[in-house]
Amino acid sequence: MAHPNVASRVVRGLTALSIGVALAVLVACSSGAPYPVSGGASGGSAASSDGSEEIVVTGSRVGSSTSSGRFSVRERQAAVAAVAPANAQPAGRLFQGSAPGGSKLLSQVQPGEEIWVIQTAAAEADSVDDSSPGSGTMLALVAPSRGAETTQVPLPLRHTDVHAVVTGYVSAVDVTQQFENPYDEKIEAVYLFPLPEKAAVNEFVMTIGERKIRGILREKEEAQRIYEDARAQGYRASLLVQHRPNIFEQKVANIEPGKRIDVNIRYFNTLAYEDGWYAFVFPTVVGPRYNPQGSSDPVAAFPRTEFREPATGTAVRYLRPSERSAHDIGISVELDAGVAIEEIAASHEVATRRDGESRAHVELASGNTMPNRDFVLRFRVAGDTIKSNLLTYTDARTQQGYFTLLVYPPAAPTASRRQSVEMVFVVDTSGSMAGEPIAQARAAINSALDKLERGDTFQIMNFSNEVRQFASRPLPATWDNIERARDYVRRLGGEGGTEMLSGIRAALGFPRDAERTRYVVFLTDGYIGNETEILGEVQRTIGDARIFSFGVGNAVNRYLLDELATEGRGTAAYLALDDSASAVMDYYFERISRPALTDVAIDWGAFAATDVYPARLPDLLAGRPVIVTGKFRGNVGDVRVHGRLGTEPVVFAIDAARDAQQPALSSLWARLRIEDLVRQQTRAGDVDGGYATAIRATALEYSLMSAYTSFVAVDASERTSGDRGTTVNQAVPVPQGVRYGTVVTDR
Amino acid sequence: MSRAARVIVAAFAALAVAMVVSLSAQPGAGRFATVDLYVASDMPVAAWQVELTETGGAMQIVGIERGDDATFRDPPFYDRVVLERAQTDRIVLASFSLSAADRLPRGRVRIARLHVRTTGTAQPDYEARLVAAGAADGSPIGARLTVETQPER
Amino acid sequence: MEPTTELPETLPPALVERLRRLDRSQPIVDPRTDRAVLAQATEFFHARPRRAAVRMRWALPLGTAAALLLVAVLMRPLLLDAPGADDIDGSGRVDILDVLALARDRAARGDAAGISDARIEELAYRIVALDSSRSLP
Repeated sequence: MAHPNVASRVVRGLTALSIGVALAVLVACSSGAPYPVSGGASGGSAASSDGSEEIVVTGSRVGSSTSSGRFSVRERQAAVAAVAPANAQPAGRLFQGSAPGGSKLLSQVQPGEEIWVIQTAAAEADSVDDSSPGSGTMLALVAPSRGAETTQVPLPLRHTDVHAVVTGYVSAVDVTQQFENPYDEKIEAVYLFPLPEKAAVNEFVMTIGERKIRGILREKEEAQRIYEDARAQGYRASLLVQHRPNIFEQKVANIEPGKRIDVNIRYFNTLAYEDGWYAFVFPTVVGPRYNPQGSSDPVAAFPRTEFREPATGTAVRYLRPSERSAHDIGISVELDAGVAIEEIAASHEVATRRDGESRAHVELASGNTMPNRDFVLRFRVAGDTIKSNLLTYTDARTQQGYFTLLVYPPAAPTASRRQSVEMVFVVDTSGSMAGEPIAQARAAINSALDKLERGDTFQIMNFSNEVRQFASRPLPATWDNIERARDYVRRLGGEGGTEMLSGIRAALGFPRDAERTRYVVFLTDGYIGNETEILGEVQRTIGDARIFSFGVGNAVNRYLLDELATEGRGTAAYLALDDSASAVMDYYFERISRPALTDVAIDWGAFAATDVYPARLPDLLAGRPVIVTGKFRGNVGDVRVHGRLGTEPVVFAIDAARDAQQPALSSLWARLRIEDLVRQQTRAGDVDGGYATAIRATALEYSLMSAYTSFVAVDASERTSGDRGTTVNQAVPVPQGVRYGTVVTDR
Repeated sequence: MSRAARVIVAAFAALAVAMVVSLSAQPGAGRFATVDLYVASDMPVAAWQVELTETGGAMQIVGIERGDDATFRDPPFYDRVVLERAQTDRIVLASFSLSAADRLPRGRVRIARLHVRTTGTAQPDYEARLVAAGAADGSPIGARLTVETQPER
Repeated sequence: MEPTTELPETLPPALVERLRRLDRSQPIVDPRTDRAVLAQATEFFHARPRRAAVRMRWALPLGTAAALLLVAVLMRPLLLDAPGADDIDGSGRVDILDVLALARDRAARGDAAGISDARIEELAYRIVALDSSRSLP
């Protein structure tokens, strides 16, 4: 038996060692991944000799109670906690002012910018409109001086290449993301990016040098496990995850220094059509989202230098206005309209080459490749060539037929007095709408107010942190009321959060007018993170009202806006910053107040159509068809469409079916089925039950991305050396027209 | 040292040991390997079709890659639906090339590579069958099929 | 020994007379019973020949139809699903060589071949399908 003293010492030694190990393990598990800092200074003093620098800040009233005081400008250099090459420049400077209210704005000022502080002695006013002078302290907007310094930030995504083939109204799009490691250590690249919300993503290929490795679709959790396994063991791997129907996350593991890995995604989509114009849309950046308290799966907006992951959900990293990355985008579109193309227009500068009457090749012009706004390509076909038609495709392996039915409304009747309506304008006045977007929204509402007729009633509501409204109840559209409304609209600004749910409840919750149909006109950029909650509220409370959503801005949340319109049996429209608000509103107001065909129903006759989407057909607007997709078996027969033109019943036949030889129809159908299941799931509030199972099963059967399935690819041919590498989140520019400081939470 | 202190210390020690053990064990972690299919023929091969079976029940395909010759379809054809729906013990791969005979591969050439993941202790056991091989003019040709797996590193 | 009406002339007349009596002897049946049984038998047998006739009349066509149906079911894999449409090279089985033949035809004749990419891919995916792959002997 050991001497008690020796035994005691041994025990003490072992316990001390155990405690030390336990603590070390706890610390290692709880800390984030280590960030190697190579080169890149931290700390240090400013370059200017007097310690100050002229700065410009975007102007906004800071409030009448704010005094200017004297700003003592101190320069403080942020510590660089980033993976950076030895010659990287520090990532910006922060300035702090001594005046209350000014320090927040001053913290957003960038090197090379100027700040002007103006205070008048006049009586204070409550106006929040930048366009009219008043009293109080105003920080004026002054254009940045020429040669303002921009910082090139090394990031892994070098280039995105988009190639689309458009046949009729179906597009097949290949998106290739080129990741290249600019650092001297191995990395994992993470990139959040948008795709059209109805995209049926069904191909995923990882390219390493000349080798292409086709990935496979798996249940989301299993794909994640495979990816993490591969990453931990040093294999190159990639994973594609869906966070929203229009937000995806790409992860690429173990990219060695200086090496490149490409990831190719393919999807199918249908084009929107309106009054002779088809529109192909490719979104390039995810707009910063507002996530109300308690959001279950938020999409946060972080600055580039925020390395920690959010506690829940995910986050998009944004570059500061003075920062640039090397990421650029190339877009090319092959058009085969099937009928003569009369005109082509695009949101960006493009180079167009025609190939006969019905074909064209369109390419984004060089120098116009910064990915900070949606790419929209529109082409017009001869007005009388579009008719209702039926396309079919039969899968030879399963003998299952799929069809798309384009229902084009008949010519609009001669103008007659329309029925009186109750117009409810709901405007997003959150911080992301500040500046140009809110100006567009004001112009749109003013145009709509011009269109109101005697007998109509109207209401105006706006929401940011809370909901405010013009009047306690809808008012008759008299001259006096409209003039007062214009004054209210003039004072709308953009500040604060985006409590859209409150806006929805306010718009749909007050008692209905038995003599008028309620038309809710929603104007927003859609930058929110709780789409599910909002759409669920609309489903429950829409009743017989209609929702017409207007996306205001250059990179709006089209998924939300389209779904609002679908749930509201209305339509969505998009008002870019350089569009004419009055023209867009004139056009839509004319149509929404005089729909071409209501109470639409389809008589399939002998055509055994099943699983048809949309299940509920919206009212048809003149020049705006609806595409119905479904399955069928057996022979195609006559199809007739019933509806009402005003008060008169109407029926018309659809042209004979054409075999489209278009396998994409099956993927498009499956995508719509998944969308419908998600809608039902939202309505039922059933997140992980039977709907999830059905969505998963459909996605796996048709090899489609969904909220429950992910693509993964692993190169098992060799392991890379070293540990699993550092995670680098690809930062992106804020969408054009959105102010960085109002939407990104600096920490 | 008081009795209470000894208990606390012992608990810490046990926690430390448990954490170290759990970190090193990684139950359920997969192993990755490649399965290469080779076809050897005296004639230039323009088309091939192979059936691969794994009898050990351990194969999970996590990537499919074409072979060495760039003129063949990339990647090969395979049944996506079944492969993505559930773990499968069988896969049929096929591909073809429209290149002229003098540009087609001859001799022993790798026609496809599968990237696989296995879990558990079972070792995968592969069997492959050459269903068809054809020349540039479409005529069937004789060829030998071999399977090589890269050992897990 | 079957009675016979022919009597040999050589037999003694008494013996002949006794043999005749044996020949003429019958079980004694009451004529009324006899008539009743006969009536019931007539009624019974009058009905049966008609149903039997019905069965006999339709048996042949039905049997023929059943036989044809059976043949059709058994021969369907050879007739209706015959690889004729997909057996491009006429080898008797459908495999990658048929896909190659289709692709070569299209490459040689272009749009005039009337073969689309979708058709080629559709056939290719059929031959690799795990739940329906089949080759003919």
